Amino acid sequence: MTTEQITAELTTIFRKVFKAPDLELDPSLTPNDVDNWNSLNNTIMIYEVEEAFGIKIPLREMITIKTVGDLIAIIERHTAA
Amino acid sequence: MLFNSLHFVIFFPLVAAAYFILPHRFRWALLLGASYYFYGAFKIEYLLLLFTSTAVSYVAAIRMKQAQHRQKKLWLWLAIGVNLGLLFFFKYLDFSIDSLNQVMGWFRMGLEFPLSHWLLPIGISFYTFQIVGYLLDVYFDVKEPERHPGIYALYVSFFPQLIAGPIERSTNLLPQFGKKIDYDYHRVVGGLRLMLWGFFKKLVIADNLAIVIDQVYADPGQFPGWVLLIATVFLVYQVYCDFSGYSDIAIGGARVFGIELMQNFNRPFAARSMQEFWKRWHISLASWVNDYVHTPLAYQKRHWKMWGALFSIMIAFLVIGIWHGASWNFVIWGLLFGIVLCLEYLTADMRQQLFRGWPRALVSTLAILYTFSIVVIVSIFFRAETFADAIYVVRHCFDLSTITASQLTGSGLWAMNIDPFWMVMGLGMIIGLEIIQLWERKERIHEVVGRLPKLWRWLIYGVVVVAILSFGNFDMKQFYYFQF
Repeated sequence: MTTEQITAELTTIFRKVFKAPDLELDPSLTPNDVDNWNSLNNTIMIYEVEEAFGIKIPLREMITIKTVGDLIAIIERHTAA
Repeated sequence: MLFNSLHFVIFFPLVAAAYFILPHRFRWALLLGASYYFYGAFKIEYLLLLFTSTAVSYVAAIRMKQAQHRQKKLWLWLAIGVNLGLLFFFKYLDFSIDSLNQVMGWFRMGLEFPLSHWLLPIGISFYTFQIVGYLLDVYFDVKEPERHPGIYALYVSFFPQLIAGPIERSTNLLPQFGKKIDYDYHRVVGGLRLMLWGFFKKLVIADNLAIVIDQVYADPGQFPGWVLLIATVFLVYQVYCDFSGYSDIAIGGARVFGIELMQNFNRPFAARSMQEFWKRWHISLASWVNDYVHTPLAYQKRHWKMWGALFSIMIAFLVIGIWHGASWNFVIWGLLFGIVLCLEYLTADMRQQLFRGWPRALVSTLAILYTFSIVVIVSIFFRAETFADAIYVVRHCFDLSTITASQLTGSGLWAMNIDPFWMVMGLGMIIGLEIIQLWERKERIHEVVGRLPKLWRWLIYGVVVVAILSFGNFDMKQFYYFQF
């Protein structure tokens, strides 16, 4: 999968989980930049990502995610494997 | 050793002076010695406990780093088991036995286990969580294990934050002990200024608010609703000034040594939701529970989607409640917060729709009032001597129908055994504090004072010191959070 494809799929998930229909994803975005991206919704988003990409993100990787770019990198690594 | 004791007033400058005289390589030993002396001054036996927790976690962390998957987990659980086991033994054993006896009483089993009556070692809840956080950081490769036993022992026992936090993170505190720190006049004075403000909040505001609270909560049934309400509002500010005052002394004291501790309070009563409140109140505990309890649990239950989020909120607040104390009041206190947070989570969309188009300032004011009211109600469970007392206060504190004009006079208050001076002073101090906090939206008050011309600065120091000496309560009243 290309980074563009991952970003497009991720945008759909983010818009749905964080209820932000107009959200445009950028690798530098952090939870502070996205309304509703808080510790309560984060794991729901991770679950949706796992389902959509058919991967499993371990907890030790999830806790390192500080930006959208970090998440994209993790998805790239897992989908490439 | 209490911060508000003559012992500390002599101890602290001596340690600080020695710290800057000694070369960097000996400083950890000085701070460690000072910290053990500080803790041992409460009760020498406590040191044995602190030492055991330190030694077990030090060894386990290094072993974890060397071990493979299964063994790594084994070392983690062994070390966490020992530390939480000690905490359970000293803090929760009697509570568990007592609860078990009650259950057996209901079933008339005629069996009763004796209570252990162990004394709660001061600060154990704080340093145990700090150790468990370190172990999990090492397990998840967030932090390399500390190899220097002295530096690690100092991380566990650093005296400014040993007995009531802030509960520090290994990633923030440990690296700072290795850095060479030069004497910096402005930093040292800045730290002392923060300590002075902390002492003022504790000795003048919190301890004097306690006068009315103690009278009312000793026997709430004797007082009309409005007095219960005022006493409970006082209680919210007492706990805040006591604990944030302690945190200021801890953070200021550490700053004198060039160590930056994490922020523990950030104007909590400006919060517009309970979720925001817990980002502003006891930040070090709330973020600890979020990172080490809520997040792993929510991760594990992520396939439950919304229910997983709600479940992990309730467990996280159960932990926060039980962490505070071994009683059902604290369990209920924590669960009440959990329920409110779940309701906020579930109604977020609805509220957004409902208030769409309303003036922003009005919505903010209503949200602040809502949050504060919840804090007031929940605090009753935090303080009431018994569960029955708590229910009584909840049921009557908003009943203002029993108010009479004669109750509002000085003699009316005296008739209820309440000192009118401290009632009026209490209200005045709360209003004064809120004005200062409004100012603190941009900058902390001690920093503003630090920039004033010398004459003004010293005038303010003088007024604060005189206020502490004349109104300060020097009955060596313990800090509220020492009981946890």
